[in-house]
Amino acid sequence: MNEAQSGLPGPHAATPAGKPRARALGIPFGGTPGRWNAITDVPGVQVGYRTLIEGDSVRTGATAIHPRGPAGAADAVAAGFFSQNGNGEMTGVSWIEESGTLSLPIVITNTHAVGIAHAAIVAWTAEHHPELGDDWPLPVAAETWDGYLNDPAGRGVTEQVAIAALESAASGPVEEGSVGGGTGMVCYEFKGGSGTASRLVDYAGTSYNVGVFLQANFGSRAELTLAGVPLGELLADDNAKAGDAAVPPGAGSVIAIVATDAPLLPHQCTAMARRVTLGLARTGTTGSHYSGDLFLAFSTANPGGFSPYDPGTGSDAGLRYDHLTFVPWGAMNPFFAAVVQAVEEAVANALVANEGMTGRGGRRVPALPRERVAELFRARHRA
Amino acid sequence: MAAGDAPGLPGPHAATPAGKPRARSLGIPFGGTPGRWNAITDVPGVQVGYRTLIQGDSVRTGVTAIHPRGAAGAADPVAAGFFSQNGNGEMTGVSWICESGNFSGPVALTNTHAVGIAHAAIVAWTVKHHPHLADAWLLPVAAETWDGYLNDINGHHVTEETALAALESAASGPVEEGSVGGGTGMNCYQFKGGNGTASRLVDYAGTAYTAGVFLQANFGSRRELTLAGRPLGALLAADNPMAAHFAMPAGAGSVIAIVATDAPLLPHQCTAMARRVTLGLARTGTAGSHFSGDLFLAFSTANPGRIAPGTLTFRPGAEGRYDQLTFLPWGFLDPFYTAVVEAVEEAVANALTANEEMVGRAGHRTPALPRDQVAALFQ
Repeated sequence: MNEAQSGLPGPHAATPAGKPRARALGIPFGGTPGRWNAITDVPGVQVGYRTLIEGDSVRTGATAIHPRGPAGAADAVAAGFFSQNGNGEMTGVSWIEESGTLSLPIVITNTHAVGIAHAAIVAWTAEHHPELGDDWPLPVAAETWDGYLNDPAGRGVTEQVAIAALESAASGPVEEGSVGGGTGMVCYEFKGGSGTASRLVDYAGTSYNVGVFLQANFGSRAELTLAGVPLGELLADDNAKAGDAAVPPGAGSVIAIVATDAPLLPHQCTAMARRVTLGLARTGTTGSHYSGDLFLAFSTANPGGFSPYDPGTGSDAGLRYDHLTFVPWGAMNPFFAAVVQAVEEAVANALVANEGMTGRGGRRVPALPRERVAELFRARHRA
Repeated sequence: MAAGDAPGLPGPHAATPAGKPRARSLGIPFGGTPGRWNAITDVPGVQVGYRTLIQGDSVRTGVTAIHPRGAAGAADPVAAGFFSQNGNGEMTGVSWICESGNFSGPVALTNTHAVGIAHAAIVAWTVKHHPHLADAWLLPVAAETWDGYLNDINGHHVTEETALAALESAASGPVEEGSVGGGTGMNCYQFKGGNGTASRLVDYAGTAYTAGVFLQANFGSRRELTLAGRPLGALLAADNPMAAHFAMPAGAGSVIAIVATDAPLLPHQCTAMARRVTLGLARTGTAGSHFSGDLFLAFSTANPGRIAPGTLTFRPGAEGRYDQLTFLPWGFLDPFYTAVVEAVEEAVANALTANEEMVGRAGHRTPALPRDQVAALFQ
């Protein structure tokens, strides 16, 4: 393992808690990662977790993502949404599709707690941004289903849990695997959950960041592919979940949040969201009907670019024009490539940063066997 | 005008269960033929329930529950479609409806800040009443309009228990209108608004089908108001305290429309029905404010048991099953579209008519549509 790790910056080799990341196994990835190889490489983006692992059957939590940090929650970002397969929930998308923007933090949790998460963002906003006054919040709360390992009817995620995630958000390297909303998630029938990655894209003399965060809970074992190497058959053993008739293989969902500081139009954000599909496809999935694959992309550029309604005190007060600077469409391809590469790596990271987990009813999900995968890529490197 | 002054109108067409007047009792003419209760519940099986919170000076809110196949039928999907006339609002569950063209379980309508609570309450209701459904993942429909002018919307007054009470009180029969349930604190055309409903009968091939509409009406600016083709905005411009409340642009607020029918429809046809809500609202004058979350859902209760739910398709032995849908040929949908338009127009009028003035938080006041003045216009 040290052989493959040599030369890797600390944050690229391991998570803050010391769990290995995919590059540490020698898996080759294209492109140039950012400083932390995380969504937080996009300046201003903050991530927070609240993880609930209790007793035999609580394996869940909440993840919070602040596009402009907690202080910037009232300043809308350009945004776009794409549903690769709609068997899931992401609130707030009617507004995103209407206006091409979103504001307020995002929370990702389990399927039955997504309403609670929504209420928590509303409460957090009322407390931390009273200046928003009577403006009605339309926050983004999203979910994947952890009912295999976690008690599906459990009341584990309360508003307080989601608020704790919102209030713990920070910049810097991001933990991966079974943390926050990803705690009980399953990916390619290995232990899954939270994964992140980033890429640098140069344009017109500026180095922009494209960062991706996934709550990965999708895919069937037979499909798994990493760096073009089909692994499903090689790693087919130790798959108790495959025998569980209550849950179809591939079920579960993936939520992708794409962030960039490149200046983009809302339509371009939507185009970035559509590229998540191509990144997931590199890891083998064919997109199960039972998977809620919902993707959101936003740009932190153009701060203050979308003026909020300002009633002013008279008929002419508050009247203004807004302006957006944006990368020409013809120059978008490197940003699309960045999304695809970062998504592929984020999936690998979610798998690698894990140990096996046992949950409700004694159900067990093994982790990706790191040593076998590392050996496979060492052998390919030598060949 | 008291309900008794409307000779010839069946009781449920003239007044609500609580005795509040309905629009027909003012002499306002409407096209088409209403169903028995002139309500969404004229569609067999559909049940509606309310929990109304009016407390002290500042609590003016609540929850409305609608069960497409009744509380007992929560496991059986209905064909459905969604349309966003203007996306400044929230309706959960629509990713699934847009993906699959169906949904199951009840719908909850409430205020903007409580829509997540209502979502959680549908989950809790399902765990309690249909526990096997909750073993898989639920994607409930919860929707909202903003009542923060009259209601202490940040006070967390709508709890899961509030929404659960609405879900568990749902029943068939005539439906109360105005300031009840989720509509309690709502405003329409800057008059007191809230809940409105209506239905139309449509004959096809020897069967009398029903199209019913339910609105949580919280939209429109006073000067736009039109009823039965008569522009009323200038005539009824007086007494408009909301217009002076400049923190809110005129026309802000939202409208949620739920369209139900027992006519057998494909999901795409349900979506077409949802798009017709716009034409019905337009008859009442609105130009569709950017500040209004106008989100519409339409479903068909026909084809019971014909859409295999996910909980069935991944059980052992389910392989090899085919589903089948019976549906009206596209060429025969026009009378159903007309029914939606007419019922929506009347439901707006009903929401306005069944009201008295309300005073809420911070002394904010909304007057009611002046019934006598309107009735005099239509004599």
